[in-house]
Amino acid sequence: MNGKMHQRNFVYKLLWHLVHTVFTIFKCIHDIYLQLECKLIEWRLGNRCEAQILDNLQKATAKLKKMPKHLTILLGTEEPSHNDLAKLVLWSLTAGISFISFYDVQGKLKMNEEELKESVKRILPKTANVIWHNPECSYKNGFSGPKIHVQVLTQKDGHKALVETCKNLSKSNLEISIQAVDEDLRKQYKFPDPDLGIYFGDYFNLCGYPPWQIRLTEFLNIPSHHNLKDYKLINVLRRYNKCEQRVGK
Amino acid sequence: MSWVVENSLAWYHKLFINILKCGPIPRHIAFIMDGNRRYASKQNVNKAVGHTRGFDKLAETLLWCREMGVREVTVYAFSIENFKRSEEEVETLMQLAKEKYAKILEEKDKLHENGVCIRVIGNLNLIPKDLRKSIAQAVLMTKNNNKSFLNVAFAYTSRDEITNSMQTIATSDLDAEEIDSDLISSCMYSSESERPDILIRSSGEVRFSDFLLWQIWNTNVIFTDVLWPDFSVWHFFACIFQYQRCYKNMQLVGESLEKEPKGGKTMAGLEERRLKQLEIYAS
Repeated sequence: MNGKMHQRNFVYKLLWHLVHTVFTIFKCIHDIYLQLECKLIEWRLGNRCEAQILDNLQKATAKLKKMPKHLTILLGTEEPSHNDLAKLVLWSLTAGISFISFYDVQGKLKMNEEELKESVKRILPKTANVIWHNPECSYKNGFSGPKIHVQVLTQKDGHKALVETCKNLSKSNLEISIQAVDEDLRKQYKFPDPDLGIYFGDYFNLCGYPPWQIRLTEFLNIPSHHNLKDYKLINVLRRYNKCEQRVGK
Repeated sequence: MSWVVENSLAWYHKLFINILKCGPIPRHIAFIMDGNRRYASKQNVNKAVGHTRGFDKLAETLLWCREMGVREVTVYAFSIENFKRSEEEVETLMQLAKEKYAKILEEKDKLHENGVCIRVIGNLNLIPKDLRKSIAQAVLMTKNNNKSFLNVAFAYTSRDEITNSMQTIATSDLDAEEIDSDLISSCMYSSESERPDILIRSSGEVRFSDFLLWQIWNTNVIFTDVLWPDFSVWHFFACIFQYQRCYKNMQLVGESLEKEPKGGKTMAGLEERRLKQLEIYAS
């Protein structure tokens, strides 16, 4: 009896490995197919200079009915590529997005924030204003020309920020309400709640993203941010336009 | 239809379950069961039928979870925001809930036999009195069962839960400097739950709508296009399979998030207080 059960379990295990292996192979083929598809799109678009890309982006996004005010980027477990993230800042500015934030659970982006700033400075036009937010410096007024607010988020902005808020509110005599929590958190998070979140990778995991702010955020996927293309952002913005919010109704 | 349904799985379903069981199995799955109304309009039946089919699907899903070895399930039954729907629909939903909770009391033996413990998470103050009574009775009746757990989020939003937890902490005599995230977790409505391993939202919506925001910091989130009443056992298998694909990744994320020592603080006496409150509601 026992031997028979062992045998059966062995067969199940074998089948489990088989199913996962077959899936891995299919996924590989699918990935190659997707890459070819991208290549085809790029070939059709031809060799475009930076100005053409921006022009095209502006035209495509001008047709959209709604644009996120705050776009947040979830790196997942991908290694940050500063040049691609800088491109995202430039394209968001072009599309008329006023706030962009980056969340990286590993904290690498925060550690190398200066490098990211350099990359952004390199590709952005001179007339554009990038306002970096971090706990030490806050927003200064009086810029002219197009502007975008940028901040890099880490795990500290997640549960820990709520712990700080809880401490602040316990010490104060304020009545603790949803609004009071929201206002206290805003001192640390500063940006409006994100309207759209883009996550990279095959699977979606928040990886400790600040929880309070994402009540109504729509989350959409781009498989990877390495070698990011403008049409992928346009696609996501188009999909975002199809999302309808009913807020409980 | 009942809470504990007869096993209707065919041999090939069982085969798949046995195969999937060779890999990691989630301990806790959370569901946002969206799409009942869209299903109703697609099938040309009225909304109430859609909601009933949705409930039947839940009972079926609970069976699949038990067979798969998933110990805990949390479902988003009714959000605080849902009170904003038309009076008629809110009334229908409350009526449906009342029926279902009354059914729990009827099915006492079956629930005990399967060791099902039903808990409610949410702001009970907002629920109509008679429904609250049935809910409290059901929770008290099954509270000693410990084989599988069903958390029903009713009159729930995550922001309300977090705020409520902070209120509980502020009114205790703890020193503010002692507050940490474990303490906040332990004062949540869902304090007895484990972190969900998977969150599934049906019907193509891609947001969380204020559900379990605090708890899903390391969870495999699956947005699927299928309407909830159409969610089949194959969709369920696909979700488990996906979880197994990203299991290693989740462990890595867990490691990079849990660098700091855990405080392990809890609020003394909170459980007793809640139990007493439930007893008052039930009487």
